[in-house]
Amino acid sequence: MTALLYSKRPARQYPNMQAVHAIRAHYKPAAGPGSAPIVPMTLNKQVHIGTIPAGAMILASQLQVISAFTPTGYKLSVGTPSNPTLFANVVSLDAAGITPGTTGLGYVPDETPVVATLSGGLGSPATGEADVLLTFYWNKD
Amino acid sequence: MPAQKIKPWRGYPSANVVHAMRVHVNMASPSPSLGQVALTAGTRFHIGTLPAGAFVLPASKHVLVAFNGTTPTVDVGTETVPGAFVPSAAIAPGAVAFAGGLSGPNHGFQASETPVYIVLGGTGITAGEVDVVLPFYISKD
Repeated sequence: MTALLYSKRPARQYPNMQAVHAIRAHYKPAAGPGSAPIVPMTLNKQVHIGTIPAGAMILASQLQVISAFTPTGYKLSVGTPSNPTLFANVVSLDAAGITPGTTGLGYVPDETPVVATLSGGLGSPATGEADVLLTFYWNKD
Repeated sequence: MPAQKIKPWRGYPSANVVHAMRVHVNMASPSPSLGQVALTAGTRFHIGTLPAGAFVLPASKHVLVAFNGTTPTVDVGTETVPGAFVPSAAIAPGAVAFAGGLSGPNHGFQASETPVYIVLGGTGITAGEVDVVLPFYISKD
C-alpha cells in the first residue's frame, strides 16, 4: 500500500443546513503548492483530499483532465486509503476529458477519508491540469 | 394519530449552493440517532419542504437491503402525487442498487412551497433499507 502523504483533514460541514457538500482537489503540477485548491502530489503517494462524514450519501464523482499531462504515462486514482481506486481507477492523464465515477457511490456508514494517488510516469509531470470532485449529502433531515 | 409536524426548509438563501432533503428508511431496525425511519404502508412520512420558487434536480437512491413482502413500492412525492419526484419504478425497492439521475413528473420549478413525502406500498414488509436524496436549488442568482 502506498504511504499517506499528508495528515487527515476532518470533514467541514454546516450542520443544520440542507446543503449538498463536496470534496474537491485541483492538481496542476506547474503551479506548485500553496494556492488552494491546487494540490501538490508525489508519485505513488496517497494525498488526502478530504473526509466524507459517517452516514453520508455520496451522490456523484468525476475526474476531469483539463489539459493533458506531459510527459505522457501518468495516471490518477481516487478512493479510500484501503481502496485507493474506488472512485476513479487509474485514469489516464494523457488526454483532456471528463471521467464520471460509477463505483463507490451511495450510503457510507463510516467516516471515509478520500485520497488521490498519482501513478505511472517518472518523477513529476511537467505540465497538465486535473480536477476531482465528489458530491455528498450528509444531513439526516 | 396526531398529524405529523411539517418541517420547514433549512437553507442559506444567499449562497450558490445546491440544497437537498434526504430520507433513510430501515424497515427492520431503524436507528433514530442515524436519522432512520420505518414506514407504515399507506401512511405518508414527511421528509422536508421545498420553498416556493425552488428548482428540483435529479435525485439519487441507494437500496441497501431489498424490500420483502408482497409488491413493495416506495414513492417520493407530494401529498397528492406520491411519485411526483422519485416514483417507485425509479427507486426499485426490490433490488439492492445505487442510482442517480432519477426524476419524476414534478421535477423542475416549484411555484409554491411544497411539502415532500415518502410513502410505502405493499403488504407484509418487514425488511428493506433505502436512502433517497432529493437535491434542489433555491437561489435566483
